[in-house]
Amino acid sequence: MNAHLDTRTLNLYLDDALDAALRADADAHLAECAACRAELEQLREVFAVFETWRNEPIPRDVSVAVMARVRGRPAPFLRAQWGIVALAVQAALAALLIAWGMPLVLRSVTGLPIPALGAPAFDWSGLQFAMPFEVNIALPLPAVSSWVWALVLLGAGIFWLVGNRLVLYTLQRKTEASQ
Amino acid sequence: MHATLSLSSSALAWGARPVRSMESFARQSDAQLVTLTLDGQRDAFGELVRRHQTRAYNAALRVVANRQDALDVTQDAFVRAYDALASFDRARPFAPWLCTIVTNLALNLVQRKHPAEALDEDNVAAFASDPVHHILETERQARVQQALRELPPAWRAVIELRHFQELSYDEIAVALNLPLSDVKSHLFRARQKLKQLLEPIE
Repeated sequence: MNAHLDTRTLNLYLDDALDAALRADADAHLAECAACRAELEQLREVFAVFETWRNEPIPRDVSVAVMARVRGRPAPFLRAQWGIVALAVQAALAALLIAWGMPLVLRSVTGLPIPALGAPAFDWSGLQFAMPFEVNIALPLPAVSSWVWALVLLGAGIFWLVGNRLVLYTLQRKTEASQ
Repeated sequence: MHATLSLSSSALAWGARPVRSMESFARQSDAQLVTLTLDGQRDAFGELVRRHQTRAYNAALRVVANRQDALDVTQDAFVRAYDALASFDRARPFAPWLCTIVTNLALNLVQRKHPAEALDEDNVAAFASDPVHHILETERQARVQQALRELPPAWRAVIELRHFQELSYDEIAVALNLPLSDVKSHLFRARQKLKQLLEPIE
């Protein structure tokens, strides 16, 4: 190898981030190139400064102030559990939303007619699927395109998810502000 | 856990959680203190704060280059760490995880404020009062510290996480939400700058 090692290679070399082949090449070059060895040593000086860095003492103990703030907050495990519960509720409601809206989408895809206003909104048995039960719910749905309904449901779902996140964020901010 | 338990009479009531004294917390490992905190013993977190505050403060100081800001960042970082404690992997060391939070908060602060702040001359003066046998190291460190302050905040943050918290390139990229190429670029350029600065005193 005749070309000198570039800065990037020297940095990767000292970070031990070169693969075995490149490292062997670099070692071979360093063994015969004084200029690159000098360059490497200069860079190593920078590393040495960090390795011998002496931390200065903290001007004052912050533990009392931190603990005063921490005591007013919910315990971390409660936060974690609340997150899991919220996620589970969201997932359950999202599943319900999909189950409710899916017939409309399927009707559109399969070409089956949209139920008339006042008629049973979702005649699951009318679909060409083997459903284990029949749902016959009369909902006052306006006679609009199934795609409109699908978009409305999708929009509602997104709105609900974003809204939920915003509520959580606001609650968190309020808790922090009250410290 | 082999900690000595200081049990008050009320704590001995049926179903009560044993309450540990400050002395017993001092003998716990970081992972054990995290477990105790998650178990509802908030005072265990106080021991974590006492144990790591100097390191956290210095990590903040190297990025914000201002003592008061570093103190504020240190406090905020511990509160953030407390909130996120359930997500901490107890198989890994606590300090680098904490200092990742510190570095992010410090970086946010310094980017929010003026990026090129006036130097905190007190910091340089503190090194000048060190014992004589440390004078060369101290002088070099003071020069590097001053040079660090002249680097862009993102470069400082990368230096902090690589050299002081010993994170890998990939871990830094995740911690600072930077592309891997930027991490390497910031790191190598920062070192190059510092190398140039050290050359005259060799």
